[in-house]
Amino acid sequence: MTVRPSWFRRRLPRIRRNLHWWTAALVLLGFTIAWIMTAVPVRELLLKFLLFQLHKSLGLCVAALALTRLALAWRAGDLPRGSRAWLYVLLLVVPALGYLTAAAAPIEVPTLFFLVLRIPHIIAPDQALFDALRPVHEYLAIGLIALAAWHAVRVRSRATGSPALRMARSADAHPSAEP
Amino acid sequence: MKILSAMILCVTPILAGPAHAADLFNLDQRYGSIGFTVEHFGAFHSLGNFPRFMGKLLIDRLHPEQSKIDVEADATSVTVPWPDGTELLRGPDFFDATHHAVVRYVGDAIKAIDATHYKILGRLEIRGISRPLTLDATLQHESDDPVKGTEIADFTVTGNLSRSDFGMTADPVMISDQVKLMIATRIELPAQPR
Repeated sequence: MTVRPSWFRRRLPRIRRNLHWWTAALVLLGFTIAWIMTAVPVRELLLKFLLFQLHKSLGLCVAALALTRLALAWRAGDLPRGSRAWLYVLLLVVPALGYLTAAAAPIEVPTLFFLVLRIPHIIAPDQALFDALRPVHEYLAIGLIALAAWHAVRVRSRATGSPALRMARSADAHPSAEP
Repeated sequence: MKILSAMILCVTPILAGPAHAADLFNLDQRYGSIGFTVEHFGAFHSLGNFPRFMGKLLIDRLHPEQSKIDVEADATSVTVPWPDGTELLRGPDFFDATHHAVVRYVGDAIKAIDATHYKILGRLEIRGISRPLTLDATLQHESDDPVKGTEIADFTVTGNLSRSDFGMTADPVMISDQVKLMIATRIELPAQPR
């Protein structure tokens, strides 16, 4: 199977490619930690707390990376369009909703960026707002993962050609023995 | 201020009233609150409360040091603003409310420090373990109700305890051993002749 160099590799400078892969890695890590932290029993309070703080810290990193990438794309004159634009929207909205969810939580646990820097909460605890924000944050996070997966499949498909094209190439390379 | 107090009386039926004797008062959640806080790494704290409690306060005006207080809080009602945390708190690692449904404080002496500050000497029982505990009471506000001929007094009561003294030793890293109590109550006394 021949993999063609993608637009991504042909045109993007190394710094933007690196930021892209860092974003992908942090989104996957943050999503995975979200599943674990909610499944950890409450009696493991310290572990649960640390996982929540790590999840929130990763979310803030994802938002910062998305903003940086948008700034670089804007400077290069190639702001994202179509599904890539929606990816950027979710890369910003999901962490923002996560931050607001944490701020609205009645339990009033602060957001400690990697346990070092306290990020101020700009809204007060509010049970009704928390109940409204939390599912939206969760569903949009699932949407982000789904859209990212679709983005990856589509890019991979472009790089390697469509399934039909691959089959045609394969048939050319290995013609059938039958007449 | 007296008018304001009278208005409060009219619109909020939250004042403790005389029970059977002149200076014996029933206390419950209608007349105040019992809250507590714990620290986490010294970085932030959590609030909890007992939404259900009841008790009696016997005020001896001639001998205040002989005043008595006996309050029972329903351990099955202890709550923090996080459902999982509430479940944890009521569970065997903390209040063990299934086996010890009552948290009780009995104060058998009250010492006046000055006109507005008092020390309540007594014992606190949690999980069946009883320990001495001194509480600090402060008279925050006092007013007269000329309509009912009563005096209204708002008190805040604070105290500190070590949860490990009562067998609550779980999560020592995450939850401080020191617990601060914050109690607010309002009592109504028949006005004294002047």
